[in-house]
Order: sequence, then structure tokens, then C-alpha cells
Amino acid sequence: MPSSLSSILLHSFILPSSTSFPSSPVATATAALLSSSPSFAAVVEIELVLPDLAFLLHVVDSCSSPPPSLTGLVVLVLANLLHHSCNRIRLLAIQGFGSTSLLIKNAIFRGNGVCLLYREWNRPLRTLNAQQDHKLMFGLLFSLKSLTAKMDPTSAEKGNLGVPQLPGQGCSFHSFRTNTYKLSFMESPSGIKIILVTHPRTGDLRDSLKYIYNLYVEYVVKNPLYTPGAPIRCQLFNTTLDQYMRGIA
Amino acid sequence: MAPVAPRSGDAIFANIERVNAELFTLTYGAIVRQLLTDLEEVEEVNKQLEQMGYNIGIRLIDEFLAKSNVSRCVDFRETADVIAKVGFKMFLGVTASVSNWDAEGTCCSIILEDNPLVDFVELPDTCQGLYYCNILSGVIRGALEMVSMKTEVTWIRDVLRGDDVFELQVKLLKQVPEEYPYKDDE
Repeated sequence: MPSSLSSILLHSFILPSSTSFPSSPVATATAALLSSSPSFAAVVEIELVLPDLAFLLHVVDSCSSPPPSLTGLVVLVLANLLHHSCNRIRLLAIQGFGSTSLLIKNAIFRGNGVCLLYREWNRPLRTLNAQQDHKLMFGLLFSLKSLTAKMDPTSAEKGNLGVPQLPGQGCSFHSFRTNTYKLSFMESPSGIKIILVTHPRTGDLRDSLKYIYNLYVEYVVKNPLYTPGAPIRCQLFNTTLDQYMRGIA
Repeated sequence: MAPVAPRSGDAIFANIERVNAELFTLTYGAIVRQLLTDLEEVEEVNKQLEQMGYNIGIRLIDEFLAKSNVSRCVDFRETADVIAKVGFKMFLGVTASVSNWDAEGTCCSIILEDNPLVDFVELPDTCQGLYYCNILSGVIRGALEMVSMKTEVTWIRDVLRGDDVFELQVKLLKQVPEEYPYKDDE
């Protein structure tokens, strides 16, 4: 990879092309993502695939010259430890990608946006600090969920953008793809979020996400030494997850 | 890819690993006996059983969601039905029924005709205030709390106290949706 790519390139943001949304979470996430990247790509096309419809959001940025084709780009998976009394948001993020094969980085987040586990299998670029990363990713997903539910043309009742929703309620996106990576997402009604960032040509990963959720249940939830909500330190879970990921890579 | 349909309680019960029912009953009985010896007060034992149930419930919900593929329930009625038909069947092997809905749909009764926890059990005179199956009320409360519902679960009828069935009253106090945890300026 060319050395000029040592700067961070973030492609994981969305901007509404024609309408503007007043909601602050969307703005915050977007602003945070933009401000953290020193330079970013010329054109990002993000395709959001919802259960019943797909739409494209185009973002054009008038920054520097278009980057060369990037193969090892990073999506920052972030969560910050934050104690917020009413939060029960848990994220399980698995992310990573590489040039020609599926590279996986695994991060697990838990309640209040706390990162439960973060693993990576092949991540060529280091970006920011981990906590910032986690916060950004969390904000991105929260905003995306809220946005997708609000824009659902088939739902009769739509809350205001930014109003917190019960996990699993309404429609939720399950993946988005840019020209350099694909992010797959799954959320359980109990708040566990699983994120997988992979090569853009990867197929539908919903089954994998379900399988990882099952692994989580078997090795983490049933582990009596594990306190729900604490960072995951189960060796067996890490090993099994590793094996599974290498198996599907 | 079409989403996977939720599986019925019977189907899951057939596929899941099972343990000997007598072992389960006797183990639970031993726990209650030990608690009675340690704590002596019947009220304390009730509270402790409920707390143990709560700790079980917060973990059980993930297993339930992973194995049964149910999606988010639309309202509390659906929740109660899922608990009675899928949940109890999957974990205890018995089917419960739901009745006595109140006008707003926030309070209902779950009726259990047979209960594997109380096989071979008789309450002695010294423990008349004991809710022997209080662990179940804790489990339901814990599990529902993890899906953003604050509930209150109490026993209305108890076979060990002379009634004909077990009746649990589940009352929904409020729904607590997740909030964005980070302040805007962070």
C-alpha cells in the first residue's frame, strides 16, 4: 500500500444529499467522523440495504485528489466506557478486512456503548485511539438505526428522529457497503450489537452474525465468572471465535 | 435472504440439551433447603430466591433470543404469550397459559398447571410464608428487564399452599428504551 495512505481515511459517514435532518445524534456522529479524518476520499457511495428496500446515499467531498484504490482501509470500531444510568446498549463488533480476503477485527461492545471485546485479525492501518474509535462507531450505528427507522416508507407510525427506540423495534439496517469495505450489523432485542467489517465483495453475513451471537451465548453468557456488562475476558470465547472467523475467511 | 421464522417451543425443546428432571428438582430443593438453613427467615429466603432468579434471567434472555429467533414483540400481550408458550416450554418443558388481562393490557396472569420444580415437595408448617418457586418470578423479571421492560412479578396462587394451579401475575411498569449514551459535546 502506498505510504501516502498513512493518514486516516474514513469512509463510513453518511450525509443526506437533499434533505436535512435536524437531529443532533446524526450531526454529532457525522461531525465527529469528519473532524477526525485529516483527509478523506473524493467520492463515497454507501448503499444501505434494508429488509425491504435499498437506497443509495451519495456523498461527494471536495477535498484532495482521489485516492488510489485502497485495499486495506480501516473502519474504526469504537466504544467508550461510559456509565449512563439508563443505557443498556451492548455492541458486539467484529471487524476487519483486507485486500483480497476477509480480514476480521472483532470488537464486542456492551451496555452504555461500552466495548466488550475488540479483536482484529488483519488490520493494516492504525487510527486514532481506541476509545475515540469506539465512540464514533457507536454514534454512527445509533444514528443509522434511527435514520433508517425514520425513513421507512412502509411503517405507519414514525417517531421523531433522535427519539430513542427499543432495540429491535421498527426496521433496522443490516449492512452498508462502500467501495473499500462492507459493514454488517445485527442487534438483538436485548441490546447486543454485532458488527462485522469485511471486504466489500462479501455476501450476506446475517447467518454469521447469528452464529456469533450463539457463540456469545454459549461461551460468555453461560460463563459463571462473567459479569454481564463487563469486558469479555473469556479465553474460550476468543479461541472459538478465532477459529470460526478463520474458517469463514 | 428471508429472515428466519421463530421456532416453536416444542421444536426448540426437542433440539436443546436436556438434563434429568429429577436431578433438576432435587438440586433446586437442596438450594432452597440450604437457604432456609442459612437465612432462617422465610421472607429473606423469598428475597434471595428472587434475586437468584434475576441473575439467571439477565443471562437467560440472550440464550432465549439466540435459540428461538423471536423478533421484538410488538406489545405486552405478545410478550406474555411468548413467555408462556415458547419460554416456559423451552426451559422447563411445560406449557403455560395466559389469562386475566386487565383493561390496559399491562397486567396478566401466567398459569402453570404442572411445575417440575415442585415434584416431591411439601411445605412444612414452619415455612408457610415461603414462595418455593420464587426463582421463576426473578427469572421473568430479569429477562424482561434486559429487553427494556420493567415489570413486577408476584405469585397469586401456589399449589404448595393449597391452590390448584400456579398463577404468576406479571405487571408491566414501564418500557425503558435505550438512549444515546454520549453527550453531544464529547
